[in-house]
Amino acid sequence: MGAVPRISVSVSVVTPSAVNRIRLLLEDKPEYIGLKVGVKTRGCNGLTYTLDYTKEKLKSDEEVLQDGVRVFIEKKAQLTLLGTEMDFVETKLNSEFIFNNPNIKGMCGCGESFSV
Amino acid sequence: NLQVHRVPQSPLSLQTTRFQRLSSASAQESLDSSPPSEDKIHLTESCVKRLEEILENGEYLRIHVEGGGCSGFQYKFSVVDDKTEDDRVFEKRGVGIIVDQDSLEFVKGATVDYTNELIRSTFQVLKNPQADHGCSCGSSFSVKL
Repeated sequence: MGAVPRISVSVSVVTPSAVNRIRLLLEDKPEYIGLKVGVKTRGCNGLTYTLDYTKEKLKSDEEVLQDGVRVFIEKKAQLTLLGTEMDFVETKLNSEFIFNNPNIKGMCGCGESFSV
Repeated sequence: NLQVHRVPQSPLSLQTTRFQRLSSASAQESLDSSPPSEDKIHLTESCVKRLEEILENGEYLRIHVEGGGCSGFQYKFSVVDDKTEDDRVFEKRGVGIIVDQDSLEFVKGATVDYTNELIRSTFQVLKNPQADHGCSCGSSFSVKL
């Protein structure tokens, strides 16, 4: 199942590897309907993404439905996530969700914070 | 058996050499005035658990400190099987972290953790007494002078 590009939503693609990971995370947690992506001020470059389980969809949230998993984007995060691809990468040393973002200008060396 | 002796070039390597002599003299010797844990790397339970999952026989997690990052220095983690005589080993339940002597000067006394968050799980150096203030991501730091 390939990831279908979308128009006019903040996160345009959730990769198969991210979909699998989200599915795994939610498997034994029926009380949650999906994951919520936000941004907060942190890090040397200004902003960093946050990820949490969520029980509800707020009116201002944007919903991305990909292969049966639901990802909600908080209002504040929507602009910075415009056109991004949500991916999940895993190595022996770390595993993380990353947002491949064409809007990012500056990147912290650690890759955790960024400026827009 | 080959033994590598390095020529002291700076106060830093002088200190390192003294360390090696002290520790090889006798591990149990209590003449050393500093607490025994001071030049050690501590491993959290979560770190040990993750190492048990990822390390094969003969492999170690190497911590190397190099210049870079927004605060001047940064930690580099890698899984290696090339332990040399220059490396110090810090083991717990049969899994270990190795640090070369030069890097150890910048991380001794610190704790290595494997942090589990929803968005990311990663090895991190926590509570490094040698670091002044770090980048909030924890991968970069500046040194106390």
